[in-house]
Amino acid sequence: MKTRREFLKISGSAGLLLATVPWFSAFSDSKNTEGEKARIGVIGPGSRGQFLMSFLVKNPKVEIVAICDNYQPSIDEALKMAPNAKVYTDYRKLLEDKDVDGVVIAVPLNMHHEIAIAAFDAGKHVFCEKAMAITPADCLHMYDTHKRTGKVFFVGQQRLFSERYIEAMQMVHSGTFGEIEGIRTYWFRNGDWRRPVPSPELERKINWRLYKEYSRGLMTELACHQLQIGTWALKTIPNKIMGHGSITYWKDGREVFDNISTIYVFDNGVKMTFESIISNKFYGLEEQILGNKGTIELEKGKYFYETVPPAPGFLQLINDVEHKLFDAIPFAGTSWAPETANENKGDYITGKRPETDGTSVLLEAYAEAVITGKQPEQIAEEGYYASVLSLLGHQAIEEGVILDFPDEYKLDYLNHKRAIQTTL
Amino acid sequence: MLKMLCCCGKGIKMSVSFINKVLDNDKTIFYAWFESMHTRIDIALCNRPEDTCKTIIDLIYNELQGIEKTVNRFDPNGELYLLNESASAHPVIVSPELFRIIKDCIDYYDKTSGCFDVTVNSSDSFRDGIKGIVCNDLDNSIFYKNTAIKIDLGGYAKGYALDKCVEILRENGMTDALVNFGNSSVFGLGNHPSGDGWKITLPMADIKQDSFVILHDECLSTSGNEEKKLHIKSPFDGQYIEAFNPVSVVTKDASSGEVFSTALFVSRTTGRKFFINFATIKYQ
Repeated sequence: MKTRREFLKISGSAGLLLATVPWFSAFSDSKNTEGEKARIGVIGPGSRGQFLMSFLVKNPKVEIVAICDNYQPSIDEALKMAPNAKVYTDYRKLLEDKDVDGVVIAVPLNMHHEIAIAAFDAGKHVFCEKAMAITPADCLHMYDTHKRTGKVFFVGQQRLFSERYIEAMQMVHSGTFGEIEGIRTYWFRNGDWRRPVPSPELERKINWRLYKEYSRGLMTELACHQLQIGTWALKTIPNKIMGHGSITYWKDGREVFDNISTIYVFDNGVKMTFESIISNKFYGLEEQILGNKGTIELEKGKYFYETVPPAPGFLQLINDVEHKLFDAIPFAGTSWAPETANENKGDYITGKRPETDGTSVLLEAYAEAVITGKQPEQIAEEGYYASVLSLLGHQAIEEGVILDFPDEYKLDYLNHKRAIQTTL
Repeated sequence: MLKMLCCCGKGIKMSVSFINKVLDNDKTIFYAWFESMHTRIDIALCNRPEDTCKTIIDLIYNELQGIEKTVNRFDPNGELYLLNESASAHPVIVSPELFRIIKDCIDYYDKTSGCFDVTVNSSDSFRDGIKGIVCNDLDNSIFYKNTAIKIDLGGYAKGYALDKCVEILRENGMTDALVNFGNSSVFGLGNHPSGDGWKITLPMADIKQDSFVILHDECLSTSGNEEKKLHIKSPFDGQYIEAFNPVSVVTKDASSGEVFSTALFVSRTTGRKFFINFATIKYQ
């Protein structure tokens, strides 16, 4: 598992990194916070919450001081990881706890808004799992409350902290792949997306992702991660949204679609698609950035050039120069000719097979921000737009229309201008 | 296809790919690669702003396009093609560049005792064709005394073009760069960011482990056959040479490197000997 410090070493200077990932400003005070602790309360330590806790407990700058759930098996599992945490069954009580500096919210989607607003108003910093909320209006309310209270706000978009995504974006932004002409994202699985239910009355509580009261299904659970790639790569927000969704295979009483296709159109006509079918997994998941000079497949962590690929010897040279090495470079030989070129198998963005997805660094950044009380740049806005785009995709599907990005949900960010400043 | 011919925003050709790495000590390495002259070109430039690097690469790309037009014997609109078509009927006035190249190649024929011969691909395996080429310095015209004579600059053009690239780099103040022409010609200009010169693994390294050469304003040229693919003909019998061990030489310029690596490969298989100035050529 890569730590943030190793990551910074690999990625070059902090200054260079900040151009592509302004939210890494979270680490600017990390030397001064040595020995300090972010005291965290975890609200909803279910499967996702426990996954997040598994990183938090390894961070010497974090102490999990409280957990809150109304499902005993989750509490029991969480206590194995954080045996000294106080246990609450009502999140409002946890928010009254003066020992809690910041919360991690990993509850069903429909409860994010209520809990996050209460947390901000209680003076807590907030890390909320994605998607941010179940409606764009709720997302905006959360964003505005974060701004009003000045409390730190993170949404769980871990790709923003993943080494290969960051390196790939540096390449995209420097024009390595030419002009970006399209972004294709997809997430295919073959499974019913259900969790085991010990007793029938717990069905909606455990399988909340399948019901519209709690979730927007594939759009909020999967698309939310992938749609952000387009905004990051193109540094612009798409303004037209269309799509179709249906239940074609898992006709088991669920309410959310198991078969979805959406198109997001940027102002220059470039399109980003999201597609998900959960009754065929052959293509798996991928985010593809298509430039006129090359393609990136971010999940595989590879890039491919349209014409002749880069020479491995020169890629080694770049790597050597980055690490101040002076090794012999292997490429000299008899003549290269186009017909002797190998099949285009691509190259790894980081020089090796992907290892992590960024979650550990994301949570390290949150801990730093909780200690310093400083909001890292753009992290709330990126989280906001990832969620609102997925929710607008859902809305376009439900209404069967081509949506223009509604002015009332625009922030002052990238190509968007806030229409009316909301007074809270 | 149209788009490939246009320039993109910052003036670099669409068919050129590049990576620019800015390092933590404000040093940079800019790597550009593309196909030209039927081979791959890789160029690494050190410590110059990205836009400057793109401009230099653009100059090089254009220069190579021009050279290819001059020396490609298969391009019906190319100068060499037209020369090969007509020069046996009447003297053909050629560009000063092509005239100089052909004269240089004739010189190299003499210097290598005939081991380097740009007429080796003349029709009907016509021998000693180079002696039938008449160069007239007064009007830059070329005449072939025999209809079988055809000039093939394949064994010379890459070295010539690489020298032109290095010239452009120097003219533009580039002090540290590495240029690869299809792996068979590699020029190390100045120094690697972390060392003196450029350390290049020798093609024979699979036989001699850790075998490398350091290039400092020098060119490493290699001639030989790739596995079972024969492509070098002996000027003495017109037959493809069936040897595989490549020959590498290090020279101050790429043109002579290209010539001498080819000539040494040929001579080694024919038992021929010729004089090489070892003060300027390192022989592996």
